[in-house]
Amino acid sequence: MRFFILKAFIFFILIYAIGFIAEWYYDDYFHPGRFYRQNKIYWILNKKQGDYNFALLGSSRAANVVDVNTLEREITGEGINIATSGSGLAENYLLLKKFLENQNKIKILVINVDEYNLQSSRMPYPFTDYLFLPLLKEKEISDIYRDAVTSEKYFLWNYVPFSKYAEFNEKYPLEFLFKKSDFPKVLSWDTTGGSEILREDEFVNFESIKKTEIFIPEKTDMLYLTKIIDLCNQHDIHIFLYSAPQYQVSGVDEERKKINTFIDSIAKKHSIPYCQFYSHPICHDKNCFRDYTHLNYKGALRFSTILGEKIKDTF
Amino acid sequence: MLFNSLEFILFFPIVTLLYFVLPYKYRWFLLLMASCYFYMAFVPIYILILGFTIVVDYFAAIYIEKASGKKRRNLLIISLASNIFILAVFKYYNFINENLSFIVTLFGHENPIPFLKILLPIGLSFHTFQAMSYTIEVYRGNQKPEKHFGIYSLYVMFYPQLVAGPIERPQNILHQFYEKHNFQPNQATEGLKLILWGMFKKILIADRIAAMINPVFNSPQSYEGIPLILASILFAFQIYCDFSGYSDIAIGSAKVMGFKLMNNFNHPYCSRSISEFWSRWHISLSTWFRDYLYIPMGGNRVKISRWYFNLFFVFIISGLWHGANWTYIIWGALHGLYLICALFTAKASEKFVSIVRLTKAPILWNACQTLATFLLVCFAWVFFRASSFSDAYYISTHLFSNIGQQLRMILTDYGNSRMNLVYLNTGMISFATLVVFIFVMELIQWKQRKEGDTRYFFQNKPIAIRWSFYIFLVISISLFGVFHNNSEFIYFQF
Repeated sequence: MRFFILKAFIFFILIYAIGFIAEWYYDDYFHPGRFYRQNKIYWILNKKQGDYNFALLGSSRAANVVDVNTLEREITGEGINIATSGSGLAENYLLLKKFLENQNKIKILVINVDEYNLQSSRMPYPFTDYLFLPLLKEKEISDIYRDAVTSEKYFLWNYVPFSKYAEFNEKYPLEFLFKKSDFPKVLSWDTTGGSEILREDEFVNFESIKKTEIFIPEKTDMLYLTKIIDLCNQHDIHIFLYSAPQYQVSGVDEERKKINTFIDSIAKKHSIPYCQFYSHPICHDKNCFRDYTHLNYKGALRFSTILGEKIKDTF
Repeated sequence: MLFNSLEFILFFPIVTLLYFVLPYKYRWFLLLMASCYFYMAFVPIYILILGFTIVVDYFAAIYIEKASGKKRRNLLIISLASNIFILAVFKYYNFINENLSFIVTLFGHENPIPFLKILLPIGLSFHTFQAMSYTIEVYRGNQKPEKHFGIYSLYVMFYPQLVAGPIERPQNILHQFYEKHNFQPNQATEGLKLILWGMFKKILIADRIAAMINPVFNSPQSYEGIPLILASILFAFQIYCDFSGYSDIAIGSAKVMGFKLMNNFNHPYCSRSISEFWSRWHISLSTWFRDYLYIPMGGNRVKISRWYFNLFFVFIISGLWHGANWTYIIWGALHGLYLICALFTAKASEKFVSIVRLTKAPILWNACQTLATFLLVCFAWVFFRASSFSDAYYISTHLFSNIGQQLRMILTDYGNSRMNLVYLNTGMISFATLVVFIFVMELIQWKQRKEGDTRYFFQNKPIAIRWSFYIFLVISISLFGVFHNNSEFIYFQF
C-alpha cells in the first residue's frame, strides 16, 4: 500500500513537472507580443505608443459598423477601432487596459453599449478566453477570467499545469512550435484603422420579424462598464456612449425604450454623453442593413458620418 | 455525467476514496447514491423510469421464486412486458407512429395518433436488458432473488456500467456487492491503466475521427468515391474506439474499487468471419441475445431453414435494440445476411480454398479472411452511421464513383485534391497524427493478443519503459485530444 502511494505520488509529480515546464514554454512562446496570430485581438495587443484622437470600443456594432476613415474625416485626427466582434464588456475592458499599458494615448473613447454587451451571457462567445491564455498568470487578467469563465475552468487552468493549452490544443497546435511566422509589416487592420465593415450588402433573413427580447442587464457586464469608465477617468479620456442603429420595421418597441432609458441613466450617473440611434430614420432603411443588428457597407459609411457629427458636436 | 468530463475526474476519486474509507456495511449505500448522482447528472427526472423497472423486477423476482407452473411464467411475462413497455414508449413509440403515419397517408388518411415530445433516457436499452436478464435468470433457477432492495438497485444502477454496459449477468456481479473489497494496489493500478487507455481511445482517436468524418456523414451528397470510402473505414475505428474506450473506462473504474466486470471487446477487427466478429464485438450484448433469444428460439438445433430464420431474426432485433430507425434494422439485417451467406457457402468456400491451395499459405488466407470480414463490417457500419436510409443508400452506391479520376487528381494534387479527398479537409498533419495514433493502438492491441492478455501494457518491462508509455499517453491526450466537442459516447443514445 505504501509503495503504491509512493509510486502514485512520484508519477503525479512527474506529470505535474512535465505539465509545468510545458506550460511555461507555451506561455513564453505564444505570448501575444512574440507570437503572430492572424487575429484582431493580437493586432490590438501589439499596438504600441500610438497617439489617437479617438478610439472605438465595443462589440460588432462598433467593430463592423463604424468606419474609422470616415470618422477621421469628420472628427479630424487619427483614430483606431479596438472593438471586437462578438465581445462582451469584460473583453473590451481587458483590451483597453492592455492598449493603454502599451503607452497608447486616446483623447476620446467611443463606446458601443447595447442590450447585447449588457447581457453578454446571451452571446455565443463574449470572452475569447483562449487568446489570452498566455497572459493568464498576470493578476488582473486572472481576475477577469474569474468573472468570465466558470469556476471549474478557472481553477483548472490556474492550478493544473498545461490544462488550459490541452483544452485548446487545436488553437495551440504542436506544429506551431516548428513553424513560427514573423509579424507581417502591414496587416489589413492597419489600412482600415481596425474597422471590419461588412461587405455583404443584401439584407440577410429579412422575412422574419425580430422582436426585442426582455432586457435584464447582467452584473458582470455592469461591473466592467464601470471599470472601463474608471479606467478612462484615470487616463483623462473623454467618453462617448452610443447604441448603434438596428433595423426596425416600424416604430420603437417598449423593450427597446426600456434599454435606452437604462443606458441613459448610466450615462447621466457618470456625466457621460450618450447617443442612441434606435429612433433615427436609418433604422427603417433596409438598404442600409446587412441583417437586423448590423449595418452594411453603405449603412456603415452613412452611420459613421452621422456618428462623427455627433461626436464633433459634443466635444 | 460523461467519463471524459471534468466532473467525472473529480467524481471518481472522491467516490473511490469514500468507498474504501467507509465501513463495509455502508458501502452499498454510497455506491447507490453515487450511481443516482451519476445518472441524474444527465436528465434527473429519468431516474423515475429506472426506479419503476427496479421496483417491478425486484418484486417480480421474489414472487417468481415462490410461484410455480403457469403463475411463475405469468410473473416473468409481467416483468418482461413492463420492461419492454418502457422501451416501447420511450424508444419505439415515435418510430412506430411515424411508420404508421406513412402507411395511413398512402391510403389518403391522416394519422390521428399524436407524437410524443420526449428525450430518450440515456442508456435505456442497457439497464433494461440488465434488469431483464435478472428476472430471466431467477425464473430459470440460476439465480436466487436478491432480497436486499438496495443491493438489487445497485445491480441495475452500478454507475460504471449504468449507461453503456457491459450488460452484466446477476451471477457475475450481484455477489460482488456483498464481498468486502480491500484496497488492492495491483488491481487499482490495472484499473487506472485501463481508464487511461480508454481515454486515449475515446478522446484521442474516436473524437478526432468524429470531427473529421461528421461533415461527410452529415451531407454525404456533397461527396463521392474516396472521401466516402475513407469516412466509412474511419467510422469503423471511431465506433470501436468510442465504445471499447467507454468499456475500458467502465471496467477500469470498477476494478479500482475491486469489482470485476465482464470483458466487452476482444479485438473484433481481427476476426476472420462475421460469426467470429460477433463473439468479439459487444460481447455482453451478443451473449445476451444468444442466451435469451437465439437459444430459446431453438438456436441451431432446428431445421436448417428455421436456423437461418433464427439467425436473421436475432440480428434484426439486435439492430432494433440499437435504435428506432430503419438504418439500424438494415444494419442488423445485413449482419444476419452475412452469417446466412457464410453458412450457405461454407462447403463451396472450403472447396475453393483447397483448389487454389490457400491452405498452404495460412497467413495469406487468414489475412484475406480478416480483410474481407473487416470490409463487410465497414459496409454495414455505413447504415449504422448514416442519418437516414436515403443517405446510407447514397453512400453505398457512390463509394466507387469517379474513383479513377480522383486517384489521378490525388497523385498530382490537382486543385488541392489531397486536402479535400484524402485529409477530409483537416490538413495533412492532423490526418497523419490520427493515422499514427491508430497505428499505436493497433500495435498495442497486437501485443495484447500476442501476450494473450487484453490488459497488456508492458507488464514485464522495466518501470522506466512502462512509465514512459503512460506519460506518452497523457502527453498525447493533452496535445492531440479533442476536448471541445462535448462529445458523448455513441452508445449512450441506445
